[in-house]
Amino acid sequence: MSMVRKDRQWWRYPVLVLVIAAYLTPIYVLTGISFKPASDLSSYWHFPDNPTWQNFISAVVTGHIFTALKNTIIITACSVVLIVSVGAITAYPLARMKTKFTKGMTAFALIIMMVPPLSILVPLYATLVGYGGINRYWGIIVTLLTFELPLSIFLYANFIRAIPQTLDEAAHIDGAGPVQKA
Amino acid sequence: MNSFRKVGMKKQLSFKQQEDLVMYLFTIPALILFVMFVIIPFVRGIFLSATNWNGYSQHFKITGIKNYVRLCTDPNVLRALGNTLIYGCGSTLLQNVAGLLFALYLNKNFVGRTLGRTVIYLPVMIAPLIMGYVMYFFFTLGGAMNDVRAFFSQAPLDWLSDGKRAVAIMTLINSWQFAGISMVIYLAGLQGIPTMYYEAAEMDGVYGWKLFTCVTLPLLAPAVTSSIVINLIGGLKLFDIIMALTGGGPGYDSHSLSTLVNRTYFGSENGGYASAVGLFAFVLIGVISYFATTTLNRYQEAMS
Repeated sequence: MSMVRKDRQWWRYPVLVLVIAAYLTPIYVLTGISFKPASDLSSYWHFPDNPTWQNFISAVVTGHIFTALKNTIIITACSVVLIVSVGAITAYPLARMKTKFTKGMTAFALIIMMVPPLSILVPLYATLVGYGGINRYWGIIVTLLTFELPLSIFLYANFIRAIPQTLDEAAHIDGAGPVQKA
Repeated sequence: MNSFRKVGMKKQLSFKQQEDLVMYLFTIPALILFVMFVIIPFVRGIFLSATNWNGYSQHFKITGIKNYVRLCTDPNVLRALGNTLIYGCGSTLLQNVAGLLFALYLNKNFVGRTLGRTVIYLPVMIAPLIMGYVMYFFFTLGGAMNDVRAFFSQAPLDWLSDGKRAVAIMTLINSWQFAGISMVIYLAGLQGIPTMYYEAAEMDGVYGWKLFTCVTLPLLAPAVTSSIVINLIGGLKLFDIIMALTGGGPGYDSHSLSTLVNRTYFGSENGGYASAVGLFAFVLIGVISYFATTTLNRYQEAMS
């Protein structure tokens, strides 16, 4: 049986080459373009004959790419920490309790996860202006947090549901309070 | 909410009540965020949608349902709605089929499996906006796709000049970029299927297509559900790629509801109308996705 299977494996390699080609072509083209001077009008498929670093230098000097990178890192780091921690805290009661309140909140989180945040762009922008959060780091971090939170709650809730409730009861017997249990 | 009321009445709370109280306290941070950044803007949006606010001015008039009347007769909104559905359903279909095929293909052990998985997942990690600009080099008039056409001595084609073609291209790009997510979900699902089912099927003489439809697919039902839901949500929200590639053009032909709101607000400075369109999108997409999810979940529970 295993011999037969092995013999049928050869087709996987041409497919692999095709898949990799389909997925790496754009990156190849992008790399080629990034090393080309703007005056080079040859085909995008053609890798430049004498590659130049000029584009990268202008990205740093006039494009301020490092400022952008710094902003990205700050925003990502803060929001990831917050999304993960707040998501975990919120998911625990939503997974363990079945009341009208938790059911409603789960449904609400589901809806937030689904609607495009841009649909409430106008009032959200106006509200953020009111909070003084425009052009501030915390403004974008908190907005990101709000709209990414539902996904994090969902993933956590599914994992917490997989933990048997008997473990909670055992912890209770051992004297763990509700906070320790969570 | 019982436990809150009882706090004042009794000094000593029973263990259950204490626990419930802590549980409710846990939801407070998320609740505050939802109220401040979703519910308050939403309510404010209802108010704004009944005005002719231009987005920055202090002076505006209440115009009642005028914006909604305009919305119902606006062909651009209708087209954006259609496009949103195409982006949503089209990429859900393509991504799931492609993701499932990739997962089945890469689930067997062979050299190059890890490489394949990494490469397919690679575009997921790139911001869609950047991917949009990369693809711009392919589909502009002097772009890479036209070089391919030139190679086969065809006249260059302005790929994005036709609304319908632009929508199709962007659906394809979105599916191509995010097929990796479906693949990962399906791979996890495939690995969760115990091998004994396959051994049993082998004993019964079930192979190939029948093995796939009778054993693999039913056991993959949870993975199918989550993959469809995630892709549908992603597709209905599509924004970045459209902004990078066409900006909604030509004219208004490739707008999704998201980009249309953005365009109406920042482009046409029509805050009141934009928030009416936004609310329409919020309610509509919310209802569609909610029904899709609950139906799928019920179907999945019925299956298992």
